[in-house]
Amino acid sequence: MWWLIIGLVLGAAGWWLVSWTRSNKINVKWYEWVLIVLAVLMAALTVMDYTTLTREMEPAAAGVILWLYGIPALLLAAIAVGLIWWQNNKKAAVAPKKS
Amino acid sequence: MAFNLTRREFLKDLGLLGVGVSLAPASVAAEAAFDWDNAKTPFLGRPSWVATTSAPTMEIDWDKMQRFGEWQTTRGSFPIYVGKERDARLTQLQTENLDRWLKQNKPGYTLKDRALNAAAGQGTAPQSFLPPKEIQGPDKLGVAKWTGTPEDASIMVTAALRHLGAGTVGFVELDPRTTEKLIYKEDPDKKEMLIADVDQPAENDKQRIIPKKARWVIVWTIPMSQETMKASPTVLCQMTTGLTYSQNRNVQHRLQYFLGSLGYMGLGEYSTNALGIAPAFGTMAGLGEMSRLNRLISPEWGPINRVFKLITDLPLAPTKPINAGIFQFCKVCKRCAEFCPSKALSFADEPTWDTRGPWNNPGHKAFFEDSTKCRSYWRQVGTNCGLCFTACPFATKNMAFYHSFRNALTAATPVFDSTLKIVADMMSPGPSDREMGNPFINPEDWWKRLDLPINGYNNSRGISNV
Repeated sequence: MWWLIIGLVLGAAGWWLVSWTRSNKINVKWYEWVLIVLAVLMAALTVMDYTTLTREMEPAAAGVILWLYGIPALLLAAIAVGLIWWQNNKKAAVAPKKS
Repeated sequence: MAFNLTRREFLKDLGLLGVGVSLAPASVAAEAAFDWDNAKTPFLGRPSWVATTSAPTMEIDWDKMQRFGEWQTTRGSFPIYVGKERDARLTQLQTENLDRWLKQNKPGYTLKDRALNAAAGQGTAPQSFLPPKEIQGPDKLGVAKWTGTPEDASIMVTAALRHLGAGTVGFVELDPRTTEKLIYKEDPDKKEMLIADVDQPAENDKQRIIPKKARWVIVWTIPMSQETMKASPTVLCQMTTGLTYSQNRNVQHRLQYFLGSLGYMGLGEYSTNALGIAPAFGTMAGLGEMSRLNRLISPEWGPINRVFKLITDLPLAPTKPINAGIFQFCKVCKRCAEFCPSKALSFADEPTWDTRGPWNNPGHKAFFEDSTKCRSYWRQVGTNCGLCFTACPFATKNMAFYHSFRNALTAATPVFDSTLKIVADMMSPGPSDREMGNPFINPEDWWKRLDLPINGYNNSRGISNV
């Protein structure tokens, strides 16, 4: 049941993100969307395995999962955000100023 | 969020919302996708990364292998191997330690732990080589004995045994040149296990007689409690071993009744560990692979299971050995040897044909152990230890994605085995003072877990649910 709710929330959040980038005219390339999706998947895996291993009385394993999946999730997200920011700011810098 | 939408933008966003919301069932389906079920091994329903093979991953020289006397293991001959004086001293040490720790209220050795251990062995059916005399065969019902193809028989027996209390079920056909050598030459009580051209089985003061027509061995596992094993080497941990053995007395008795009611014989263990080499039969039946700790490691439960067997004349379709990368992983892992306080297990990089003592059965290439060191340590801690089982990286449930992924990766390629071992060391560092053989968990914490499954293990079908 929890995964159904999480899926609904993630789906709605994804829809909001796409709408937001459009309405604010933020250009996101297809590979940047891929990076975002991968980051979200890694984050979801982190939550899933951390809670599962804690239930299985494996606190050390749960702790390892936090950085084994969590760091890649953060890195992927940071790369995606960084690329999007650099790409959109570069456009703004080279756009001709309106007289 | 955009509030001033054109009709076109609204419809576009509605489509996107539909895509997003469909992630919800997709996420549930994704979790179910890891619950692989494999029609290739219908009796076992294993995931695709458990490959069947024609020969077990442990090499066997059947020409060199001979039938072994069970009493030759350290179970029966420990005093001979270490000397009567040392045996007596160790027995005294065991009694003193158990008594002292009981009175000190040492976690895992307290009165409630001892009480639970005593209780776990109770409430069971009698255990016998011969089928119970009270069984009503089909002739008493006025019908012929059950007949069907060997495949039908294997499916029927698997369905029945699962319901009667078994975990995984497999079948071995006895061949005098090979698998028949896995039946003990003598049982623990030194009675000869004679295979003879007779119509019916029999037992007397000196022999247990197996008819030659009883060509099939039914092999099954019963899981133990993984949480309870973490309390090794204490009495609390020993309880899960005792519970599994006592459950099997019921399973064997019921299986003998089932087979007898169909019109076939079921020749069982007269006592625990009798009849034949359980891990060997389990390996030949494909229930798991042999390992550095010289017990069966199954894809379902790792080493946290026990293996049992019974001989029958019901024709069955054999199940093949498997390769799930387990024995290969053992070559680089060595955690069981590292965590063994008595250093009984081998640290060799490769298995060998050379045995370490008369307690070992030659004829297979293994990581042979010094069983006398192991059993000496059992006396010291007053239990059957089990630290090697607990230390094994495969002694995990497969509910977390990482463990399922690890199992699949191990089966696919040995390239990452060393890395996976390093991760296993981080995930399960064990007690800081390994030399003293301290448990992985505080046994007192086990008593606070009121959410553990019935009998200590999850008996749902499916490898991802174990």
